[in-house]
Amino acid sequence: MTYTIDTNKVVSEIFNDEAVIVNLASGAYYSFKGSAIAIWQLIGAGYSDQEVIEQFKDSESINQFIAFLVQENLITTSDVTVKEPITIDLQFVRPEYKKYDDMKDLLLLDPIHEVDQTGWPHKKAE
Amino acid sequence: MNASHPEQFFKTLKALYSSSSTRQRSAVHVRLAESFLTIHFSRPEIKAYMLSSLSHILIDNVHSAAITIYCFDSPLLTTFPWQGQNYGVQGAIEGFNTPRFQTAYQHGSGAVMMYDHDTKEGIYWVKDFNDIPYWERSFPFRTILHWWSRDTTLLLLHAAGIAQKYSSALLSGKSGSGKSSTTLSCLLRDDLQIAGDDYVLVDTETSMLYSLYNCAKVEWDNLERLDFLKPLVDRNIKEAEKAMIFMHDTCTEKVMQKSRLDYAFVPVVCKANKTTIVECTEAEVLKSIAPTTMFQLPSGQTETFKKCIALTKKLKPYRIELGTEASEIAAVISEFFIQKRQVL
Repeated sequence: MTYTIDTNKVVSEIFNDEAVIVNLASGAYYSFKGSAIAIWQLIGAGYSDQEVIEQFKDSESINQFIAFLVQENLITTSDVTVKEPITIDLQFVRPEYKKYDDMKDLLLLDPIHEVDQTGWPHKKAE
Repeated sequence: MNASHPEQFFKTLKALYSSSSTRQRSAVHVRLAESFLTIHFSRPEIKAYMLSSLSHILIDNVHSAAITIYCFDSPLLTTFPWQGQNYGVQGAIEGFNTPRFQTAYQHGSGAVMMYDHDTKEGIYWVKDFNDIPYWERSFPFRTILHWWSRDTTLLLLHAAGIAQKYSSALLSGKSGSGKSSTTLSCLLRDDLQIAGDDYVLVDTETSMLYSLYNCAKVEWDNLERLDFLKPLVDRNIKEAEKAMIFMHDTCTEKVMQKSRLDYAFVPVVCKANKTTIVECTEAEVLKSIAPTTMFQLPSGQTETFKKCIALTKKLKPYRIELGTEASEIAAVISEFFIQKRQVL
């Protein structure tokens, strides 16, 4: 199965040994290390999960990581067949990935207000 | 929704400002990095309330302003041209954010903010200025300035800035990371200055750091530990959740206006016996500056992320593992700058 990254909703930057990913819709951000970086790059370049497993062999950890990416809405299934050229680190290091959700409250609407017909928010009755 | 609605609503708001008493109106000019901002206030009470944190960068006259803001209150605006379902995240109003116009509602104050990228005019309207919460005084118009900065190389960054002579460092990190208390510890050293405690302006091309707001905020509980701050606190703001210090009023010599930005410090609360500054990675810096900036300010998150990346790659990254004593923290920061200057 191939996937796509919606760059309107997910942004990322790859450094030497860590990738930083931000989900603009949820406010969560992530750190990827080890081969999670290369897997992220391969997925983004149009490689299928099977092709990634063929590259790195460790199907269990790769499948877990891809399932995590799907669960977090960082990737969605796609019928893309075109692969982009890409240079990755071929040495496999178990994928490490960490989620940070300390920003998500900043994205929530004020929970105490409702909106009336004039468009003006009012405090909800308790 | 009609695409002209943002333009029509902007005109409505501007007309509302124009209908205010000319006798009470006034304008001030503010230095914004290497540009200028003109703010028109509808009456003196609002001007006095909103200018405290900008007082250190007020200037007398400008030839031309890069941005103009109209700040006023009026009870005459009672309906909005949008519906309840149009309130989006961070107050952005769906249908009123276009390539030209930006619109947001500010929870807490009830303010409506708009910006016109073509005319470079911003509007900050609130029904009654007494509704403006205390925290808006510490970083007034930050959302409008964030929108304005989109088309510049400037970044309104959620970070603190500290400096020694001609070199400065960002102190990054979200609330609770030790950023503010570390920044304010610099008040204890004659050789250190503060560009800002909460937001700073950074030119991502030139790596110049500019002060924008001179207000620092500290948790009331922390004042016992940082008792050197007590004489500086503005006691008139009783309802504030945090103690506010307007540094231009109380310790103006400690406010740095601009400096070359060389370093990024990621503070980590360790409660160690000794503060240490150690090298870290660019990724650590990006994680500490980008998300908190992107999600504090509505719209333009992708552009903000790109600017944060560009900035991260220009700065030398360090982690500051914090001890518990403010004077010791400040001494370590001072020594860091001295040693780095000797290496150059």
